[in-house]
Amino acid sequence: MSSPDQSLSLRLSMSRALARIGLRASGVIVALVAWQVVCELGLANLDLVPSPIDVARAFVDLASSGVLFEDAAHTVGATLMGWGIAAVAGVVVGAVLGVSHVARAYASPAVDLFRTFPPIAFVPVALVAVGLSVRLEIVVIVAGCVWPILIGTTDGVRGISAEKHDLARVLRLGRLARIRKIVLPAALGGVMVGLRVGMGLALVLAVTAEMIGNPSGIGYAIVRAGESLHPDRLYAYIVTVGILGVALNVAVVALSERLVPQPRRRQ
Amino acid sequence: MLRSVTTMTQDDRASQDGIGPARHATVYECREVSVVYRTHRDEAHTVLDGVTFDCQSGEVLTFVGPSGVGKTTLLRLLSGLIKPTSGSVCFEGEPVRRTPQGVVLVFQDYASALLSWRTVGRNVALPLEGRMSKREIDKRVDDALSQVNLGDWKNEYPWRLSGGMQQRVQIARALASDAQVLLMDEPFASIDAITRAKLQDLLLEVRRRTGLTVIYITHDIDEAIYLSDRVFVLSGRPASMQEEVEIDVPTPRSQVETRELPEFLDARRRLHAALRAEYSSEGAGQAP
Ligand SMILES: Nc1ncnc2c1ncn2[C@@H]1O[C@H](COP(=O)(O)OP(=O)(O)O)[C@@H](O)[C@H]1O
Ligand SMILES: [Mg+2]
Repeated sequence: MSSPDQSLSLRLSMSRALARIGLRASGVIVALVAWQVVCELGLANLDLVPSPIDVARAFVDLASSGVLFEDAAHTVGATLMGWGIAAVAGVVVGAVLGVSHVARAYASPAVDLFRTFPPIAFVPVALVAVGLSVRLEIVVIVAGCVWPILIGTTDGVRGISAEKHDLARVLRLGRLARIRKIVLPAALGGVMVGLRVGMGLALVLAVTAEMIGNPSGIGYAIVRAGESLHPDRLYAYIVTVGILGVALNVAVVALSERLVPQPRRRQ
Repeated sequence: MLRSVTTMTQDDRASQDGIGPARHATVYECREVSVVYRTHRDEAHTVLDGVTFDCQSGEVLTFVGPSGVGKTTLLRLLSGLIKPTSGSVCFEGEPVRRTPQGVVLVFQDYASALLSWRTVGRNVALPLEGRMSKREIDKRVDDALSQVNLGDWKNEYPWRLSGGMQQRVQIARALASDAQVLLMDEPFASIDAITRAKLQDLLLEVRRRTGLTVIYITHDIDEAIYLSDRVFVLSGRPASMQEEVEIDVPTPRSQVETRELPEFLDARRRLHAALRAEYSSEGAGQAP
């Protein structure tokens, strides 16, 4: 008796989920349709702008030949590696700066100066130092995305209320237990903001470093497609970068929601 | 259960040593305690001046005073969070340097005293971790939560609980860690009157069952009388002990009858008089 009921409610909740996805994607869909219409009607004289359908076709071609996955794997690998190194360095240094006002007094002017340097400017230096290898992308990524992670962590640690420090002392927690059980979890919100911003930067920096430095991955594929006058492929690669960016962001958000239960989020 | 065993051994030891039952042992001794804060313009700001009192094991001692008088400062001294500028604060005969073993401070602001990323059960377990086996911790957490009637909320996050329930979690955390002394800083001040009455009764109940010593801070005179064996009035600028009132109100106490007893009303009259004297002398002091 209950099975038609269940399948009905299942179908209802599925259609509701689909509707929600449709709602969120509506901006993208409208833009794609408008783009297709502009191309079809020849409204703009843009020989180098392919229609979405051309791009989709190129995307499928590249994906089925396996080239796309190879390039994407290289870029994602470099992104994750650089981001991971920046995460470890940024969290450790950021925590030290957050805890010690002496360290902060000495280091924060340097941090404020270094983080204004454009990371791409490190490409020529990195070329000489590490040559044409994935290490070049990693150097550039770390140089760029260590800063938001470091600053997020420092702010997170500094933002811990005096009451939390009192609590640790009143409960007679040791130094290590205090850092592990109170300081780091309390700072995790700030750390996670830094990690998210850092992840977005890392992908962009990987692609850029590949375009002007190490000739590999999606960045170099974009250059190749442009030079060989294949705008459909060029856009297919750009779309790939977008998809990867969204996926990496979703992954970091999922990680942060697992690690930090949100007091203000209620179902 | 656990606690009654501890109390018994203490009693035994005390009677063997010939110093009488343990509940008359002095827990805290404060002698001529003064606290001077430095303001941001580096001026000296004396908050407490020559505060002297003893607290015996098993009693409920309450300090009443207007806000800003230095009540929180006094509890921070007792819990070792700050040191006196002069005078001495001793716990069981030793000067307090850090929070003594067996002393737990219950904060007024329950929201920041509980860790939002830990469940209720794991909040209660926090002071026990690394000090005993997982099974022992589990047993104590369950026991403490059921003492404050929160057994069903173990796996919930504290921010999903009402204020009164969160305050009960703090009390459970103290009970689980075998606290012998609870220092409570206006613990029920931001809780509605009906829930507050329930929490007061819970505290009296726990205290009767476990023989806890409680040093309690409030600005509510009725609450002070209802809970306490002795009440001190803290007033003046800088604050000093103005009045000590022994509360002869019989136990067990009840919210309605106790508050109508002549002993209760008498204590109430004396405490109000002491606090009123402070206001009028303050007014006189400020007159040009
Ligand atoms: N860390 C501090 N530095 C300087 N002044 C303080 C500090 N803490 C409290 N005070 C001052 O000491 C006085 C007493 O504060 P407090 O003990 O919190 O009072 P109460 O708890 O009775 O309301 C207040 O005037 C307050 O401004
Ligand atoms: Mg206070």
